[in-house]
Amino acid sequence: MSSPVRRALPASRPLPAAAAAIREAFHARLPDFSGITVLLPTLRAAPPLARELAAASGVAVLLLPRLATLPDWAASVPVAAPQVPDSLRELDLYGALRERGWFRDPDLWHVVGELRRLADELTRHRVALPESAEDLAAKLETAYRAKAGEPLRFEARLVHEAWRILAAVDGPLDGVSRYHLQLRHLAQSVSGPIVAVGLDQLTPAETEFLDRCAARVPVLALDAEARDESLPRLLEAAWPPRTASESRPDLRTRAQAFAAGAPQSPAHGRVALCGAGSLEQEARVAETQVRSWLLAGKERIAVVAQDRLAARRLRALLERAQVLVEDETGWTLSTVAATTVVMRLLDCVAGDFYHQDVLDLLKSPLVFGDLEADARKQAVHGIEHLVRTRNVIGGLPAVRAAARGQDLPAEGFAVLDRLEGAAKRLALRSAPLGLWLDRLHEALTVLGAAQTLEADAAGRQLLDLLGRLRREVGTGDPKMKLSEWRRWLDRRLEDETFRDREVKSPVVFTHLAAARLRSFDGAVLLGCDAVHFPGRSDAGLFFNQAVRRELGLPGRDDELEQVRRDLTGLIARSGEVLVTWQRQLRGEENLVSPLFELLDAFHRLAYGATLMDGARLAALPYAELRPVQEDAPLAARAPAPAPAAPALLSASVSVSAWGSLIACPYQFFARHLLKLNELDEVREDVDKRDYGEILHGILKRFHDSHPVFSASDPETLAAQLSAESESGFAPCIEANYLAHAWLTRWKALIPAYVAWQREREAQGWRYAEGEAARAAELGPVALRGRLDRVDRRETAAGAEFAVLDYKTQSAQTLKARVEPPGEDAQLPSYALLQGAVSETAFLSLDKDKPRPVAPKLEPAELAARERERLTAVFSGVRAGAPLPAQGDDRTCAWCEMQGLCRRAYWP
Amino acid sequence: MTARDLYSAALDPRTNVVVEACAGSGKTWLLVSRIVRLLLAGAKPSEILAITFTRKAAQEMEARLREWLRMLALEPDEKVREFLVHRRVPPAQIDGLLDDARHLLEAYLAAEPPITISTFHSWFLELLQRAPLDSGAVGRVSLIEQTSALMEEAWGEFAQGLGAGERRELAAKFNRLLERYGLTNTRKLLMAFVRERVRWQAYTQGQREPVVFALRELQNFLGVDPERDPVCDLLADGEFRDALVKLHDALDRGSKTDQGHAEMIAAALASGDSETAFELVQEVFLTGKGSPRQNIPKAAERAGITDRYLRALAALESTLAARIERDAYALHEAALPCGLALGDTYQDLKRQRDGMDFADVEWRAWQLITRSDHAEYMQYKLDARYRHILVDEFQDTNPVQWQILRAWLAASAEVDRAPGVFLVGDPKQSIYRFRGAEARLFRLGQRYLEEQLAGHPLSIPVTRRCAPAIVEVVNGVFRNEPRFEDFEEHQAHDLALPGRVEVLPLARGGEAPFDWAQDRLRPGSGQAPEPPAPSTGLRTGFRNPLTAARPEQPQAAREEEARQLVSGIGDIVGRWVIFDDKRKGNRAAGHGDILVLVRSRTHLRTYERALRAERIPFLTSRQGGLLETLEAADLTALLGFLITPFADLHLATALRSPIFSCPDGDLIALAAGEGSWWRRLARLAAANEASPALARAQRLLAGWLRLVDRLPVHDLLDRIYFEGDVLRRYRDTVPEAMGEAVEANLRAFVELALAVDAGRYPSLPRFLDEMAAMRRAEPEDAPDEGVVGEAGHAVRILTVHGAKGLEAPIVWLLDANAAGHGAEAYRVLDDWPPEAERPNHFSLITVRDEQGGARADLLDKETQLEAREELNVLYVAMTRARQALIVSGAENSRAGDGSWYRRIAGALGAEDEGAELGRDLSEIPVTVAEEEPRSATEVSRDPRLAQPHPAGSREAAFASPETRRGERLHLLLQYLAPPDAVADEAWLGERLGADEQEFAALAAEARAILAAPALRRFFDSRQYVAARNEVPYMSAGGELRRVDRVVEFENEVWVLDYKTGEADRGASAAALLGRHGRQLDDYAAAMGVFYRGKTIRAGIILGDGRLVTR
Ligand code: SF4
Repeated sequence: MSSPVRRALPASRPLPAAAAAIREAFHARLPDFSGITVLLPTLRAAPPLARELAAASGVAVLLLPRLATLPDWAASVPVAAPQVPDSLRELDLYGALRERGWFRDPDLWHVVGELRRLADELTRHRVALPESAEDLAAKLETAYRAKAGEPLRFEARLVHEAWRILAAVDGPLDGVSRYHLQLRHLAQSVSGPIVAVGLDQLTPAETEFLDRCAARVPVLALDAEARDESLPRLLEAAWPPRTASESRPDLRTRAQAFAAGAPQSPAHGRVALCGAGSLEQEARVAETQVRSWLLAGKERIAVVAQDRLAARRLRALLERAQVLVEDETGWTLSTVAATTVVMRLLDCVAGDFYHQDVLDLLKSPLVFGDLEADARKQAVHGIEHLVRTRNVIGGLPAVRAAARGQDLPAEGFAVLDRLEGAAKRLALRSAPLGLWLDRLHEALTVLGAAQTLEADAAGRQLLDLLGRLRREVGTGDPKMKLSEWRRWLDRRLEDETFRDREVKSPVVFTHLAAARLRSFDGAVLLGCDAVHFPGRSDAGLFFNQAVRRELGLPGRDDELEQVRRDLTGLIARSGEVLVTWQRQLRGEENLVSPLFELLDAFHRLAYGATLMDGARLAALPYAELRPVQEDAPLAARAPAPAPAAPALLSASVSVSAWGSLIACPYQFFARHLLKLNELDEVREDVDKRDYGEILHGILKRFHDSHPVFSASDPETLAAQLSAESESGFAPCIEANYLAHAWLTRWKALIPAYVAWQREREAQGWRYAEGEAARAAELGPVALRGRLDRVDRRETAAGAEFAVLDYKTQSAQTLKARVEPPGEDAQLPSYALLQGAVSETAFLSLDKDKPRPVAPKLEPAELAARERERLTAVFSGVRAGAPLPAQGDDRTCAWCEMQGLCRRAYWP
Repeated sequence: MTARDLYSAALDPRTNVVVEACAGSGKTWLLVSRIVRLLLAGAKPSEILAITFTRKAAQEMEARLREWLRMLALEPDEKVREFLVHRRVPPAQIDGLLDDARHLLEAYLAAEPPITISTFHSWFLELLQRAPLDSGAVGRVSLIEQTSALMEEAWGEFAQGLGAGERRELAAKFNRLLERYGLTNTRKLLMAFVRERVRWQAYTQGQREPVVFALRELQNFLGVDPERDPVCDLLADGEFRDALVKLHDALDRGSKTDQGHAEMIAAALASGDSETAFELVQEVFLTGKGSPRQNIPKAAERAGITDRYLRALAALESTLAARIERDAYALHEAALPCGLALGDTYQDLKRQRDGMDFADVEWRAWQLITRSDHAEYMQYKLDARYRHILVDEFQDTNPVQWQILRAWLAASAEVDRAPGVFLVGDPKQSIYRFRGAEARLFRLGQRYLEEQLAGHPLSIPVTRRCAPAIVEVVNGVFRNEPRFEDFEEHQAHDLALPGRVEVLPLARGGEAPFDWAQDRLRPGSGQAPEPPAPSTGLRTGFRNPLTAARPEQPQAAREEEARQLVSGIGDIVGRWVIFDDKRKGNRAAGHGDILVLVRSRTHLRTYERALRAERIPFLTSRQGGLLETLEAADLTALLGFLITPFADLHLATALRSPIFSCPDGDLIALAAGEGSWWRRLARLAAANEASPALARAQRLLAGWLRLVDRLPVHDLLDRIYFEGDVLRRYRDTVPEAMGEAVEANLRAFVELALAVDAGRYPSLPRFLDEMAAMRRAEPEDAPDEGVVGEAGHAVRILTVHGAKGLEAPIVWLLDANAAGHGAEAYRVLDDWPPEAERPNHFSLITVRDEQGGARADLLDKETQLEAREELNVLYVAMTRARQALIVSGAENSRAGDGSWYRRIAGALGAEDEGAELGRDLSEIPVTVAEEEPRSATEVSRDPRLAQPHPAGSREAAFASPETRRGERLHLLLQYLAPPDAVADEAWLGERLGADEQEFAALAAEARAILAAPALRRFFDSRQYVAARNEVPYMSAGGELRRVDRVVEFENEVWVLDYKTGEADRGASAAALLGRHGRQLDDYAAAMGVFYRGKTIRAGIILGDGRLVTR
């Protein structure tokens, strides 16, 4: 068997050299290279190589060789053996392990995924496990250099079991085995010569393949490693291969030896390291560099990002400047809007239509694509309005109930119907995967999402994925519950990458591995801190490095060596390289990658100069993109506002509006003249406000039906009031169990309340009216209000009245509130509204008994003063008096208008 | 030992030591130096495990290590020698180690696995990730650092579950708690239980029925017999009843009060309800405050039954005590099951998110490591084999961490040999009891090391930080403090460093600023509202809200202290002179040199307001501030509007924000319209009636509304920032002193969006929901405000806990006269002796009245520990200061002599009118000038960068289903056409990604084409000479092209192009040629090069089997 002919390529320009080598070897075939197959580590290297070939060939038109990666080429070979998809293999394993009950359900998918990965790795590296689990345990024992305890035996048993299930030899093949089979077929049928360029990571099967081919056809292996230029030689000296670590000279010696051979630093001007102070700064440094390169006419710019966040930020900054980015890295499918829709739908079903999930789903532009955008928004707004104002926490029936009799647009009902229809389709207890997937598709169709997803690039990929999975899993078992199935789907979405293929740009975001063989005019390596680069080992759940080595699997050292080679190559092939990282992260030190620390130390030892370039940071402010300048008014510092809006003042104001004016005129302006309100938030727990409201209702009803307490037995009354209270609270408790607390609290107070009322009656007071509406014309404005409770007493001088206002706060809080008189609007206004009032008080229903709290002034005095103030103030407002923003701290703390008065920014 | 010997001993890599290192003695220096010594002694980086308590400290340590190793690799020999001398390398060895020292950097950088410098929690996580598969801890786990939102959610779910029918029993228990403690306290209690569940788990571990176990233990401990009711027992007691009868008779003859009491006794004796009876009796014997009434013993004396009375009283009191214990027990019967149920809900939620919180991590790690076969397995499963373990801040360790560490050491010894151990810490700086830290472990660790590992304790009382003046006061405060029994007097390392301690006079409160009697502000009370305008002046004394603001609540003492602070800072900055460590010289102090410390955040707002009013730049540690800032609220409102366009207030807020800066007049204009504000705005703009600001707003908002459906949150925000010129507009709008902070916050907001976006299944509504949840969350869980600048030319305000590990030339200790805060109500009480594997006691505590006597000792022990910790906090606070310590406080009637203020004042020999010690720092000569502005490096300023310069293009790659079908057909034709036609249909179907049905249809279509009469000769090998599919070539113009099929006949060669797409279906020949003609010609020309001498023909093959030619 003859073996491939090996030739070395120069690291800094491998593709032109490869083209020249191919031409030299096969010039007799020119201009037709179509019989040759050129194998590349990545397809992205194919177009540049084709160009180099054309250039090197010297012919006008060149019939190109087949340019492919080895797996792609193999895949194009039809073989009769069908392949069993990974999804099915995992499903088998899942079913088997679930029966064993070794793991908790939520962990199981993870374990299964890891086992599958391990099994494939073993196959790929042709590692055969021993026949029995015991033998494997024994092997592990030696490899770990440990005694075989229970955990070790379990590991052996698990791996062995999985291996047995996954690598079943008869029947359809797994992907790796089939690839191996295809390689064997290919090796038998190959006819033209083969050139392997830069394939430095071959598995045993692949190496064997090339060897076999070499027996039949010429095979030329070209590897990029010749150090043609001083920069790659410098890198090699700074980062020697890991294998040579024992015998190599130390850093200083290497640096000095290198400098002796190259008096000028080849890295100077070509490699710069820049540690940024923040994420923003890092992105800005990179952005400025990329745009400067573009301005300088560079046409191929690579960004290799180790840190997704920084990359994303950079991309946004570039897009600001209308620089589009060709993204070869993509996103996992689980982070795109299209999959959000699917998951939110499942959330809705699983979480009984929790309002946030529902609104989130409905607000996605991807659902109801068949409706006009405006109609959809109208419908959704209608529903949102309902949910918020009627406090619908969850459940479709609840939304529907709230919708009844409300002015929800017709589309709103249609939307609800369809949502319900979709939910019905997913209302399965437990079903095989295939059925779940069918139902999901139906549900998406019902929601009008299938169509919109089809029209969205990521959406279509999602649909394709769902379709493929559907075909793969067929109709068989195992059956799964919704949550299990959701986990499964989640994993699939996580594993899939979405790439936006629509952009063509000189700026490319790519991976280190995908950059192999390609040359760039400039490259930015983003996020090169010690955490991200070279990154943590991803060895998986099983074994450790020693065991992997022992078994014959590649280990961390191989991983690092590959990174080192790729990095050296990329730098060598790039005109200029900028390496960035964040020196500070969350206020903590963040160190640069050890690789670059070492490079810089080497450079300093060799040339006495650092490669760190901090000046770029100082230059950033001068390199900022300016938005289009417009003639709109500039922003400026502004003091507290004091607007006047006499025209907006209506004929009457409520007591609460008046209270707001007293607290802060600007707040009154915003709330009652501009009529701005906070949106209702859906409240899930009952707070004091709800409690107060319910209590008011209960007391009104009870007093209306029991106007005099003294006539009845107090215990009976208390029991009746308790019963009334229970039914009053019932709906609230239904919605939220914690409302019990409020009921309990109130019930404890009931006997005291009855006693208090009886005492009051003993003083001659009688309940007269609850929730009494009153109004008073004052000249500039009419005042209106609703009085919680009016009591009446007959005296010799005629009837006198008491106004009581139920409060759930403590008496102490209320005391502070009535002091000094006039700061609280309610009681003076009520006294004014009712007239002939001899008592006015808050009634605190808080602790052990009702406690009235009254202001220090007589009600008549209160009323008189308030009348005068009201008249004066509203005359002023009508006449255009300014309404200054001047709340005190406590008012402002709870004021929703802080964004309008801009208090925090007053000079 | 001399200091030199101490350091030599501590750094000697061969010994195991526990170092008690006082504040400022350089713990980090010591620990990192020890690491360097270990490396020099030949330890591999992977053999070293160094543990700290915060990620920040770990990062700092690693940075320091790297810096030193870099220095060793790069600097000249003398420097390296000097370094080694400082690290106490024996002089004889130095020359021999020189080369080794130089090589450490590379060895360290290339180490695999690398050195482990991490926090306990991340080390535990690492253990868990490598945990044995049968430990039940497999799976992806992420650490949930912020748990309050999740706890909240758990609470909601728990409550909802109670409403469900199945949990009636639990609901009844829960209701019992509600009745007794109310909602807030019940919640507090149960949440506390969940937070402390590791203690519960430890307490009940190995118990099949934990609640039963705990209740049984509690019965014994409290001396409660749940079968018996002490009240009934008492009332049934003959002697007691007899005493009552006698007393009744005696009282009946007494005063009116006595008679009343007699009546009550009678009623009690007659009552059938024991509770009622007991209450009556209680009321007779005891006052409301619980002390015996005066008149009763007198009556008893008159009747000559004093003895009986006293016995009855004692019986009553002991019954009361018994009842407290009984109630406490009953509390646990209800609360433990509820707490467990809540805990389960919480655990479930985390599991659903594949997450663990700190407590889970510790618990799991402990479980893992205490099973001996697992512990052993972990020893060889990890790639790193630790031979040296170093722990920093050892006093902050909690019992679980200590147990794990010990188990690890034991297991290592079992497997191989025990690692060397180096523990460093300071029990005086133990201030994390509330997080479970157990300061007593320090001594225990010392003992353990001495006994097990032949280690020895060292103590370093020399501070390199504090000036002698500070040290003097520190010694003065702690020297005679009984709770600091182990205090060793400190020495300052740098005796020449000038220092100063100032205790300011206590700030005294004034009256409320507004005098209601006079209806005016008191003179000198600050912010005076305008005097009432004559036109609306009121006679009656009610404030006119249009002309006078509501006065603030009086808080004058605190405000006075705040004024001391701002004027003090004014005096310091630019005048006091401090030593600059980096520049080795004296320079004037700046804002950044001042560190203001508070014990709690309670009054922060007051101080902040004062600083803001004086425009003093400051950074506050108020975490979670970001979402509370106006700028974050603006952006949230804007986003809220974009997703909910009928949210008028959101829109109005956005309009008023600096993004649009619309004045109130604009809002008034909008208020007059109909419909949603957005509609109104659109109408105004359409009618050209909008102000320029409104018009701009309308234009930008309309654009963003279009984007909101398409862009992820971060990208949307970025567009908003850019198009709205947001940063600049804010800069121009906010008060200058706030500028930096606001900008930092705006950036932090974008980063937040970025982080949320990078999560799974993101959306704008979800983002806003999460923001709302974060705003609701506990302050320490919400995102921090943006970090201002790097150098930080601002005063820092921190809590003492937040300042741990920091230092500053000038420290201002605020609010030093606050009373120590007592223990919280509603929490867990446990007794976990540091050496024990589990707590001896576990119970729940409510309010003081219900604590009872049985647990008094435990509570007392706790109080002792708290009092000690309180002093530790003071020690930490004082020792942050390098040169100056300023102490201020507000008058406070509750603060006793133990207040910090009094202690420090006492050490200075002063009361509360202030005192000083040390030098006047403003008289120190300056030796280094102001920090020079950064040398103006030649900054490249390319004006072109200010403009966009488009690059790249977007081509819609969108294909309709029909087009895609066409593509598949195309592909299929390639596979089915000879010469290498593929026969395996299953393979083809898979390759095309089509299901059976689809494939059958496609295949039929493809076969029809191949068999179409007009095309027959191109596909029947008997009719042509040769054919090839898919011929790629490089055109003369340098373009990559691909011909679908080339068929060679005797005299001619056909170049064929498949057009199976929807667009070409049914098109006329002319149209097709118009569309594709040039391409065909190019193909033909290229092929002409290869088939010289033959006629080249070109044609298009259509999906319906037609052939179109030129
Ligand atoms: S925040 Fe304060 S000043 Fe502003 S409107 Fe509200 S109450 Fe008035």
